[in-house]
This record gives sequence, C-alpha cells and structure tokens, in this order.
Amino acid sequence: MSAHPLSADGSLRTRAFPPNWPLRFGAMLFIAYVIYAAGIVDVRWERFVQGLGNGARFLGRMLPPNLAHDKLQLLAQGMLESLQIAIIATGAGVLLALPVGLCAARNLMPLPVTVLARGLIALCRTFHPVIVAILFVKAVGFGALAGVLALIVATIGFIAKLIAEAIEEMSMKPIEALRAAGSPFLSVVIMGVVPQVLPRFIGFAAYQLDSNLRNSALVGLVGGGGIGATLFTAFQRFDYDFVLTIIIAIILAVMAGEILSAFMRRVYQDEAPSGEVKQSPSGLVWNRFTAAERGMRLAFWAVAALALGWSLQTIEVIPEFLYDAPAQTVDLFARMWPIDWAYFPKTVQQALIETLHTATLGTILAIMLATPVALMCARNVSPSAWVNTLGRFILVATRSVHTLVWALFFVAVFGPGALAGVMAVAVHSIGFTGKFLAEAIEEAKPGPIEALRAAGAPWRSVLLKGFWPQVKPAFLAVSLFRWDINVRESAVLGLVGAGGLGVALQAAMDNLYWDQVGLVLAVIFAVVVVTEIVTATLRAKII
Amino acid sequence: MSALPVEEAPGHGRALVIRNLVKEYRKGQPVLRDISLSVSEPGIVAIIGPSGTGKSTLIRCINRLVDPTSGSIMLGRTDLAKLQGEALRAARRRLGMVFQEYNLVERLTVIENVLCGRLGYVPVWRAWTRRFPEKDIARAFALLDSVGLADFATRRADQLSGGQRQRVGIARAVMQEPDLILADEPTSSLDPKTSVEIMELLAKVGRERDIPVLVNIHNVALARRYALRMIGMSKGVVVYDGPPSGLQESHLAEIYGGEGWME
Repeated sequence: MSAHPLSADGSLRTRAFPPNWPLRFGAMLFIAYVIYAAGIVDVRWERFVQGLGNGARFLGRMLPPNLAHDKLQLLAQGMLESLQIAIIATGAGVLLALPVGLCAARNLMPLPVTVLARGLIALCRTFHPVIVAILFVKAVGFGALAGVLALIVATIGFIAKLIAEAIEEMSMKPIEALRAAGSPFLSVVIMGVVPQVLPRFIGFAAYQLDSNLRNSALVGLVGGGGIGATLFTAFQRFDYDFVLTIIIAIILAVMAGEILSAFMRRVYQDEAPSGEVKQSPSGLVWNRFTAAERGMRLAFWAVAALALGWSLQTIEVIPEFLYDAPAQTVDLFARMWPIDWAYFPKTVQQALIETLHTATLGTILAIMLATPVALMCARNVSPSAWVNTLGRFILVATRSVHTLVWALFFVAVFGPGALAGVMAVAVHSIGFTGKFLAEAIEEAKPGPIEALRAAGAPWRSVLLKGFWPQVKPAFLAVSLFRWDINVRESAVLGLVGAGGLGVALQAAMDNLYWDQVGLVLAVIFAVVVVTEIVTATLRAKII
Repeated sequence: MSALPVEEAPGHGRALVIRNLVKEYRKGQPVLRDISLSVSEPGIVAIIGPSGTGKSTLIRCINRLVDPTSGSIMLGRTDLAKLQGEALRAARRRLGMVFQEYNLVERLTVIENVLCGRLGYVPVWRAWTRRFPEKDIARAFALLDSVGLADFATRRADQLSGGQRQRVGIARAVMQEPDLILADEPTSSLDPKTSVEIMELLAKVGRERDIPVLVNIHNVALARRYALRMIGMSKGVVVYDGPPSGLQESHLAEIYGGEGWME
C-alpha cells in the first residue's frame, strides 16, 4: 500500500514477479545437458530424416498385417504359451510372495526377519526380468520354464513389496484387540490382517496377472518361450507383416487382461461376503456364505485351479534340464567369479554412460510426448469424447508393447545404437507417464479453474495458471519414478542392439566370458541401487 | 509415594492384586509411579483422572499390551508381569478388553467379530475355515441377543453405529469367558445417551457373571452412577480409592487440579 507502484525510477516498486535466477540457471543447465547428451547418443538431423524414411518403408512392409493360416496358427501357439507362462508365474509367484510380504511388514514382525525379507524383495526387484530370464535360460535351458521362473522372481518382488506396504498401512486397533484376547499369531493374521488387506491384495494380484501377460512377451526375446520367441523370430526373418499381427494380438490380449482384472477387482473388493443365519431344529446356524456366494467362490477357485492345472500340464518342461538346474546355476556363478575388472575401463564405462543418457533423454522425450496425450485423456480438460478415446488408446497401445519390442522396431528404423534406445524408452513411457499425469489433472480442484474461466482467461492461460500449479508436484514425482524405471530398462536395451550396458552384456555372453558377464551384472546392480537412493532423496524433497 | 495398604489376595482365584507397579516409557520419566491396588469384588470399578495421568497405561499393563517396567500384577496365583508367549496368551484369555474405539475388524461380520473372542481357545485351522465349535456359535448368538443385536449377526461391522459397535466389542470380551473385564474409555467416543446404555450393559455383565469390570472413564457423574468403587488417579499415583459416596469435591480438586471447572 505505502509502496508507490508508479515511482519513476522503479526503486520503490515491489515487484510481483522477481526473476527466479536459480530456476533460469537450472533451465539453461538442462538445455545444455540435452544438447550434450544428444551428441553422445548421436542424435543428428540427417539420421533422424533418414530414419523417418526407413520408418515409412518399414511401416509399408508391415501393412497389411499377415493373417495367413499358418501364421495365425503360430500366433495362437505363441499366445497360448505366453498365457500359460503368465498364469503359472502369477499363481506361484503370488503364493510365494504372501509369506515374504508378511515377513517384511515392520509392524508385525521382529526387525531381523523384516531385514531378511526386505533384502530378498530388493534382490528380486533389482534385475530386470530379461536379465533374470537370461540367467534362467542358462540354468534350465531354452523354453517356457525359464520364462516362468523369471516372471516368478519378478512377481515376488512386486507383490511382496505391496503386501508389506498394505500391512504396514492397516489399522493396528483390531490387531491389538485380538492380541488382548490371547489369540495365537496365525489367528491374528487370519482374522485381523487378512480381512483388512484382502481387497488391496486382490487388486495387486489382478494387476500382476495382466503385467505378467505383458512381460511373458518379453522373456521370449531371450529364449524364455511364449509369444516373445515367435516375435523375435519374425523380426529376424524380416516378416514385418507378421510382426504387426503379433503386436496387435499382444495389445488386444493386454486390453482384455485389463478389462478382466478390473472386473475381478469390482467383484472381490466391493461386495465382501456377508453370510446368513438360519433356524434349524438344534438352534441357530451360521453360514459364513450364502449358497450363492459359496457358488461364486467355488466357481472362481475352480476356474483358477483348472487354468493352473491346464497350464502346468501343457507347458514344456524337460525334466533332465530341471534336475540339472541347481548344479548349472552354481556353475554359472562360479564361472562369474572372480569378476573381470579389466573389462570396465575398456567397454563397460562407456556403455554405462550411454545407458544413463538413454534413460534420461528417453524420460525427457517421454514427458514431452505424454503431456499432450495426458491432456487429451483428462476428462476435465479434454474437448471431446473422441479426443479422449484416442488419447486412451495411445496410452494403452504404447504401454502394451514393451520397451524391448519398441527397441527392436527402432533399431530397424534408426539402425543399432542409443538413438533407437532413447526412442524406445520414450515411446513406451508415454503410456505410464500419460496415465498418471491424466489422473493428476483429473484430481485438480475445480475452484481455481472456474475462477480463471469466469475471468475470461483463454484455455492456454487456464492450463498454465489454473492446472499447472496444482499438477506440478505429481508431475515431478511421476517423472522421477519413470526415470528410475527407465534406468533399469535402458540397461537391457542393448540385448537387441539399442545401446548401453546390454551391448556389453550380450558381447560378454556371446564370447562366453562369464567373468565379464559378472562385471556387467555387478555394475547394473550398483546403478540400480544408486538410482533408488537418488530418487528416494529427491522424492522426499519434492513431497 | 502413596503407600495404600494392599489386602492379601483372598482365596478367590480371580482377584487382581497389583503391587508397586511402575511404568516408564522413557527412562526417568515414570507414567505410573508405584501403583498398588487390589480388585476382587464383582461390578464396576471406575478409574478417573485427567488425560495423560496413566489410566490407559495401567489398564494396558494388566493385560500386557504395555510391558510394565517393574512391579507385579497377580491374577490369582499368576504374575501377569512375568509371562511370555504361550503362558501370556493363556492368561490374556481370562482378561476381556473393551476399547475406546471398539477395535472391531471392520470388514468382518458382527458374528465373526464376536467369535474373535474365542481365538485364544480354538486352533488356527478353525479360525481359517471359520469352523468354530457349535457351542461357541450358540453362545455367540445368545450374547448378541443379550446385547440387543440378534438381527445384526451377518452385518459387516463397518455398517454399525458407534453404540452398536461397542456392544459387539463387549460381546467379544464376554465371549472369552473372562475372570475380569478391562474397559479403556468405553464411552468416550459415544453420545451421552448411548454412553449410559453402555455403562448399564457393563454393570449388567459384571453383576450377572460375577466378575470385576475395571473401567477407565472421563465422565465423573456417569462413573458415580454405576461404580461400586472409584479409584482416582493423578500424575501416575492413586489419590483416592473408595466408594463413590466418599468421593468429595476436595478429592476431585486434587485429582483434576483447580476448582473452576466444577462450577
């Protein structure tokens, strides 16, 4: 009030928007980094233009999708095997994850037990399923079994972590009451913990089935059986029209899986069983479930058991390989030790730098691509139902096709190297990043938006001054989380020629230099641990 | 500090005798300072006192939801303060507990919550399959009937009102066939009318089952109305122990401090 807004020399004027020098400096640093990193991964205009030409030719060869009878038979065979792999991995993985998750819950278990369980979970989560699959292929041979084992490991890591978190977030009050009644530990778990955690658990399990279906396409690329193997063969034979058929089939299967899991969640989460009380000659009788409820549950378990039995029976397991597996695994690790440190300065260091740049540039590009898609998907921003549907389709389609499959595609377009990796990471990340951004936008409070609209602000201003301040924290958190995931993914992209640590890994494996393989695995392990620490620290600062 | 005379435990197996009980959450800062008291008579024994004075800690020490720092808590011939594992669980079955916020398993039905009172007795597989003994189920129905919730057996606990939930909580405690009931602020989350009904119910349980009901309570008037004996606590020590009629304004002033609030 007392400050004179119009004083001539401006000295007294309070400035509403003082320049934010740290921000400007940060932005300049950011641009400098992008230019520098782009140079490292060899992004050049002519390469890009040439790539576009390649891409057009490539797409031309993909269309129309190959629907020949023998191809469809191959497709059905591969999809069926992938489905079986997903079912077994989910069933076995979830069963194993239950005790591990329980042991990791710090509010129920003594400290040493939780430390052990958390170590196991961390170990399962550190390595990308593809790397785990490679190791299992070496241990139990090519085929579906290696894929199943790799996905079981991934399932344990994911589900056990979420179970532990769900248990830690539940109310301790009923637990206290059951303990006060003298219940033994397992009874406390059954009557106190399970009812509280069950709805979320069903959600995780349904999601994991869906995710394993997607990942079973992945383990096939490295010899783990299923549709991935069919896809890889099609790529190697330049059967690009069949590649398109397979990709469409995978997208459809993943969409069907999402619809099924959404249905399962609705049935099991909202309608908790209530049971009935009946009058009988000897007095009142209590049934935990009504006849209809019992029928539904029986049907569910019967279907689940049948699916598992069918999968177990049909899946191809060579018993000799299985018996041999423990010895092979021990042998594998013995050959990795001692690690060949000399390999590091020669090749691995360069590959490591390339991997980090691939992950970072890919994430930046992904955010740039995902933002408009997220705006299309957010119901409170999207201009029409058509745009909304299109946006949602883009999210599902990019997410359903795994980074490694995208990498195969971009290697064909841009040639081998990190550029293909960056593109693969970016395109696959659109689905994940866009989905969370759209949700954040939909959760924005309508009040400030209405106020801006009421003041006659154009839509660009509404986005910038109404939505952006509200979405910013979620935006940063999602970007960070995706970067964390992308570092792991970038480490394996080289297996299909898209640059980074994967190239070094593939080279070492091809030469059977297991001590070098050991080194690459150790480096990946270290990188993943460091990334986790970095993102956890940054996340704590943002939130 | 206060050295009230402790009666020798009578032959009655369910007598609770607390001697020199001390509880420190942080070293050198006792919440309970040398509490000694004995409870053996059936009916409501009300413990009153300001917030943070250790009433809840005292009750929770008795069933060992909180571990006492020193002292003994004899229930009959067992020292609850020394028990561990299996023996502690067996002893806890004899102590029913009613909680301020009911502590029901929200997603289980009313009858399942009542049957939770038997978990200390039945093997794990019976809890898993919900195959509780016929006798237990019949008793659960009888108890639900006696607390006025006969028609609610298959309702989920989260669909009940506060007063109804507390009735389920009481039924669960009685289901244990306890020698003593501990109630930690059972009426603090309830409206005045429901509070009276819950105290009525607790008094009835004590009378009919011939067991003591130890109740932490903030509402002095309500305590006076139902308690046969009142224990006043202040700053971790017992400052009054006697019949409600003997509780004078001077005692209340000592327990709660100041007098302005009594107007």
